[in-house]
Amino acid sequence: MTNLLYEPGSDWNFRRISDVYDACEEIAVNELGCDCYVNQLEVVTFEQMLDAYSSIGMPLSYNHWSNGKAWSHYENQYRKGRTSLAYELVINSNPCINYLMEENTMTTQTLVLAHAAFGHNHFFKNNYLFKTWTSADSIIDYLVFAKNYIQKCEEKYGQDEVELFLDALHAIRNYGINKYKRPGKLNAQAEAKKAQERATYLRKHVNELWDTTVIKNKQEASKDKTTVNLNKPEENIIYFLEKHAPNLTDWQRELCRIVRKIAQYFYPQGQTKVMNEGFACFCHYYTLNRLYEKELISDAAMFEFLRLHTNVLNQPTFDKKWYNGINPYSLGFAMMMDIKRICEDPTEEDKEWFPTIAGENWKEIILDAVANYRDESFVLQFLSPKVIRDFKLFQLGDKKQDPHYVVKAIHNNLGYKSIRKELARQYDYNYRIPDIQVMDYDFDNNRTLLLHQYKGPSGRELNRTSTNEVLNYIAYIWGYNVVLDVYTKQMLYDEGEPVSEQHQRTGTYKSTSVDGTQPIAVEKTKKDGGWWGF
Amino acid sequence: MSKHIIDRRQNPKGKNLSNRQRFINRSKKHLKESLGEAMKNRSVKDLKSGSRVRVPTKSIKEPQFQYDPKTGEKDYILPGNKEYLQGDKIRKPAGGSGSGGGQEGSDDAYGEDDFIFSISRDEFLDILFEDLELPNLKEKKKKSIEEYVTRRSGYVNEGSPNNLNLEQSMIRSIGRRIALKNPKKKKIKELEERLAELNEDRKPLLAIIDKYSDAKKRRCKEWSELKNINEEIVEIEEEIVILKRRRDAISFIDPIDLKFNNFTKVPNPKNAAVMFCILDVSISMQEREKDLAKRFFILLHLFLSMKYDKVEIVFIRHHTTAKECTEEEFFTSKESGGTVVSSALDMAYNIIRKKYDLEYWNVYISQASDGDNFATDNIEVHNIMETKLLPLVQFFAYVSIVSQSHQVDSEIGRGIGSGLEKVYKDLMDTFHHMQIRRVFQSKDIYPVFRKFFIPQEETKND
Repeated sequence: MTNLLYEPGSDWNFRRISDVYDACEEIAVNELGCDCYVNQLEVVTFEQMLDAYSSIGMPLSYNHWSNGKAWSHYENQYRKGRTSLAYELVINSNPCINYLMEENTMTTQTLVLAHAAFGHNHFFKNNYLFKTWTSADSIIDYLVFAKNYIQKCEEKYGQDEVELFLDALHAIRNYGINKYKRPGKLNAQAEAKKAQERATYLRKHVNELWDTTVIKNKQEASKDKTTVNLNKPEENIIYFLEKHAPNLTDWQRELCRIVRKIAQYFYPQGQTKVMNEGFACFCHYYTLNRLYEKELISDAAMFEFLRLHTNVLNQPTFDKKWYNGINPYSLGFAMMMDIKRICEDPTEEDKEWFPTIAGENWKEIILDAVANYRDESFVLQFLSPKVIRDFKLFQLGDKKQDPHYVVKAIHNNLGYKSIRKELARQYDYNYRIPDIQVMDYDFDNNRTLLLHQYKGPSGRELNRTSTNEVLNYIAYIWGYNVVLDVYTKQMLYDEGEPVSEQHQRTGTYKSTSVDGTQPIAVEKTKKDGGWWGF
Repeated sequence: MSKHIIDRRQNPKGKNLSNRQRFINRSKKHLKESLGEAMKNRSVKDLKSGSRVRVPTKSIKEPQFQYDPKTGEKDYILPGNKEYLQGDKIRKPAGGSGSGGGQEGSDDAYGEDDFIFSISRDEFLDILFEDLELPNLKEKKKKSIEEYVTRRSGYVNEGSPNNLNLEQSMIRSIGRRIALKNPKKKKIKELEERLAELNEDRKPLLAIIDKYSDAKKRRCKEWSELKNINEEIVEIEEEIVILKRRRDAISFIDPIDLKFNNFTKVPNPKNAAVMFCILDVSISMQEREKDLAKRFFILLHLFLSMKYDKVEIVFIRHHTTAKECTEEEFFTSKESGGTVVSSALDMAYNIIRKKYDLEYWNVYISQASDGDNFATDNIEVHNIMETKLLPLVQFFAYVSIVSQSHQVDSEIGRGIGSGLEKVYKDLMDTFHHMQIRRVFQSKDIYPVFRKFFIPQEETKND
């Protein structure tokens, strides 16, 4: 008799999902050595999948029009058959929430379980970035707190005002992150309590009469001023605004906290796309093959799986019309498989390039890579000549003034290192997101906020339109003018004093709104009768 | 490691409805422009479909600090090298630097020109007719014939199996069984357990008794105990038999329990409107003029459908004689010759009299024409309008299609055609529910339509 988990062509049901899950667990945990959060498998309809899609992949999110925009976009795409939805969606939380779409076939569900419930789940629990910067235990609670808090704000202060403030914060979302300082753990209840306490404290202690009538002695007054510790330069712009913007009310400061905490939670995801997907694909590929070897799934199921697998991992070449960058699934999977190959069956070339891993135990090497690298360092460390050859990668230089692109390196001995280095650099967070920090503010005079951008060697410049719009948003939060100076290099500081004089200012952007009135970039919808001006 | 499997499919969908509403509100201004565009390909009678709309990305953008892809010195890593060697130069495509990289370009949020999405019929109509009102809306008697709706009306004892109401039937079944003292399962089970217990108790007693001699058996205390137990066993067995017999006699469900959902048809009174589309199809009306007229009729039909439960349309086309026709004929057929407007008006009047009882029907007439009419007919037109038509109708909209753009703004009643406008203009002084607007091109249509129906106070303010 066969010991198949399910007959070919059969629909999924809860019993089968449970059986397949157990079989996958046996392989992923006991053979591959995955260490996962408890899984929560949720069966959803495609509408619910769309909902999750558009609330940045979270099971819930505070209300904002941008989510509606994303939803309308995905819905239109899906209904027209332009895109199919992802088969799965998995959330970095404890328990780890996996969405399974009801339209999936049983084989797809098997793939999803192996891919997300074990691959991604292991990655979330073990990668150092996720361990450092996210609190899987409390994220869902925190989102609930955020949603409720913002809803209450809307009831109290009006939807328009709250939305406008959120728009402004969203524009600097990427600058609500501590890149170096490790954040504290999230705790929704404590956050809610703190917010409450701050509000009561302020209510109790603000005493207009005292502040305006009692004259402070000079010493105290000067002390007040010097104790304002700006702690500049500050990379976390939202944090700076939250702490130092002069005119914000307490709910606005709380919104700053909410947006930056959520931004911080997503910070590792952007930096580990290749590795995360690569490991998940490796995990599902290994698991499904083992299921097949154990004769737990049929030939038909295996063929269906291989078709899905190759679709997901398709890497179009650069000259195709639908080329849209390097497919992180494809590159990640190829690199993981290649590490396995180097460990098991190294060539002379591998021994020269990877003397420390050639011939080692591949499971240990891969799990170590998953735990201790991010995309940039992973590519720099593990991208092998063989993968470069398989992908036929080449490096193309683009100088603005040249009429030509120059092929700088191709997949040969001279080119491997250059390609590897450049590709790694492009996965670097700081290469993609302009480096902008809060430098100072004019405390005594007009309170202008000074931002610095450090341009780096590539000489890329900011997009003028969007930069001005973002500056207007910052000015709206700050309440006064904002200036962004562009420097070629970062100034070096020693105890708050600049020590390097090599930096050179090359440009300046200014906010166009004056004194923090409505940012000009923001069009408020008016209820007017005539749009043709009659 | 444990797992939880949860079926979320029954959870409410549409978590993003409020977000979508916010998004639509935000882009409303642009949506309205887009809707005019979407009107182009609709049929006059089409009320069901929603629409795909486009909004310029600019109005709903979410700006970020980002690099301008056209600047700086960059390297791309690309897959799929087939022929290049180190040092090769590739000419950049004309016009677009940066586009060769592909990847950088797609990161740019400003790359897409328009944001396209679909809106439902209701959203479509709401936006289209926001703030507009029907002038002169009279509460007429609701029409109560023809249309019926099916409503629930309690339960009946007979019906078809698909209407069987399980809940009601089971309530009666349970009640009947209680009334007939149907033994409870639990009771039988208890008795059976007791029986088993007694049988167990008997065994040790029997064993002891077996050891005694026959003479002693009847005198020992175990004997009397055994006797008691045996009596009880007999009692219980009898009781069980009775209960089981009773249970078997009482059916679980009986025909008298059955209850069926009952539905009745009730008349569904509706307020009704009839809309007359009158179009001049003489030689002077070309494709452009017909297209403009059609767009106006579509808007009017949609608008009336929002306000009335039932809307009928009558198409009348005319040159020197008038004819009632289908929508397709109305817009496509070619005619020639001159124009006698009174023929169409007369026909409209006759149709109203014949088919539409004014006690029930609201009448709207919209006429589109380039203003040509036989000079001798103008007096007749004036008469029919004044004495027959205008007293009957709720609203008369005349769309005057002009051939030059500057005429749109000039004074009504002058300058074009052969005086039809002038005749109507004179009538407007007496009849306020009649309006004239001029259009020149398709983008005029929607604003003109709004002018017809915007509440009066607002137009005065302009």
